[in-house]
Amino acid sequence: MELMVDRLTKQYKNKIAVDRVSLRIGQGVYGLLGANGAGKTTLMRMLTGILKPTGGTVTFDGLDVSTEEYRKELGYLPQDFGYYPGFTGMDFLMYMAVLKGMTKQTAKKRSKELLEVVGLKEMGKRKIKTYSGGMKQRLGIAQALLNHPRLLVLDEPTAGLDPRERVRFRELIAEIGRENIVILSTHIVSDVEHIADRILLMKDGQLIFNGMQETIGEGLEDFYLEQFEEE
Amino acid sequence: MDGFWMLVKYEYKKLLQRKIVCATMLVLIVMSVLISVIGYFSGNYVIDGKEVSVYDAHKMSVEEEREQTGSVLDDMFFARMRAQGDEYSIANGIWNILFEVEGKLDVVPEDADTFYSMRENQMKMKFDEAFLTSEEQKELMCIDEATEIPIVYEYAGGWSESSVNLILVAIMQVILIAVSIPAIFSDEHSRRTDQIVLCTDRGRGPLYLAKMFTGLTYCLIATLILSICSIVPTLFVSGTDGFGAPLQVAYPLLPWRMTVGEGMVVMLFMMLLASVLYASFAMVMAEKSRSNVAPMAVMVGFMLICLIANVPEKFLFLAKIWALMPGKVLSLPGGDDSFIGLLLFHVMGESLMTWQMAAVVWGMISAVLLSIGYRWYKNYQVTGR
Repeated sequence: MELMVDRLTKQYKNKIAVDRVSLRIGQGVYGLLGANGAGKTTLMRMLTGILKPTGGTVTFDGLDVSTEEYRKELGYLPQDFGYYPGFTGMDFLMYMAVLKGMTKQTAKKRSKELLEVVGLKEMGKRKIKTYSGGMKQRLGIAQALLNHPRLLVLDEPTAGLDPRERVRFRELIAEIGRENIVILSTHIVSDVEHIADRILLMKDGQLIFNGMQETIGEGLEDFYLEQFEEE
Repeated sequence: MDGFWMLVKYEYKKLLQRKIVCATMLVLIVMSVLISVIGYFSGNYVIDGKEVSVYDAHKMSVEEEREQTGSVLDDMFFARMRAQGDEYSIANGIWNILFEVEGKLDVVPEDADTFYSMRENQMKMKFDEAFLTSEEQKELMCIDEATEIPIVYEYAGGWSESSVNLILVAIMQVILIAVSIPAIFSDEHSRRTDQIVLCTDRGRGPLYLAKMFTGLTYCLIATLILSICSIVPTLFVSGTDGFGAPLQVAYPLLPWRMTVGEGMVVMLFMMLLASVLYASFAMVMAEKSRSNVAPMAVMVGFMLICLIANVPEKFLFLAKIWALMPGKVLSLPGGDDSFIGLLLFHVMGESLMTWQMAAVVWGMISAVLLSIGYRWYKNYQVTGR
């Protein structure tokens, strides 16, 4: 299992949002850190195929990011997205499951399973407009996991979760990361500290650090802050 | 296919969960019924000193028309009319034929020959006004040869009124589609669900088809419901007689070989086709503009322009293009434009009537719009925010 990112670039008129990022990663949890505007979300969108790069390539086990086969392997939780307020939690997961190519029966079984995993079993038949922010976030995580993705891309996944939910979420991600690739972006350093096997640090569109936590030596938070002090 | 129908089910669910869609549909259904019958339930007439409701007066008139069904508009008929003067009661439908041909009210023709040659002259005048070439005029007169002369009057009020009422339904149809359909695409962008939908394996192609199918079928069904809500009460009040009556009974100066009932069916068919065209436009524009408002404004604005603007026939090419606009095709059947207007379109050696040409053009435009929309949707990039 390998995700290859080769000189990935995104340029908007006179601004380079992502600047020749290259990566080669296998299974595990990868924490993508960076300040607001560093290019994390743009990079993640290109990894999920919803944004075409200006240059460079993304492949997963040889599958190009633009192919249906690539999307079959992908789970994605965007940073900020809406729901269908009139749908119930179950409706939403069923709809997403059908979009991910699952049959009705499999979709139903998997949706029920995931509602339980994210602690929304009792709320499954309620309309999403009655959900709290944290519940919506958990539902978002559930939809990303529907197709047992081998490549899971999570943009600010812990936003809106309370401390107990955050711990549960870390455990879930750690478990998924044992056999799959999980890339999660956040600016909450403690999240990454607890889950990530490897740290990716972005600044001004460039990947300025790619390494194990242990190699940093000092605390991750201090290391992270040091990068900004240089500015 | 299982996945496709599931997607359609959820797209319908999203559409019908929008309160404005259901509210607009309900209001327009009520309006469709009302516009067909409200005239009969407002006010009274005084006939022979007795107050009679408009509804009863209409029913009496319908009965009179039925009694005169089968009247042959020939020398004997006109002579009888003249001999009996004011005492001879003539059905409104027959007066309408006389008025259309003679251009005067309450004037009885001298004889049948004068009347029918006057009809021919009036038709030729109309052809000249429509800037038809001499070949086209000959062609139309040739078509008119099949019209049974002398005209045998047949009451077909229910069907001809239904065609006229459908014009208002056609306006409501634009409002309904403009309000309901753009959201099928634009909501995904405004709610930012496009990000999760487009990175799924069925999120590009199959979902586009499911959305299109939902939009098109909703518009077809809604148009059919609104039309039925207008046609059924009209036929209930004015009767179902005369489906097979020749078109000339309602529009004596038109040459077409068509019955009044067929005319209404063609009008309904064109409205269904128009709903496909409107829906395709609304969805594609909503996808491009990522907004509900832009397609709504363009559709309603264009409808209003079609209602008030005309292109003079001397600019024949432009006038022909303008005559194919839905707002023109779906206008008063006896008017210069409309689906049974006098224009002829020549395609591959065939002469097509306005509605036939419009059906071809609308079908082609819809297909082009849907394929352009597919390209835009497939290549859409999630940026900004």
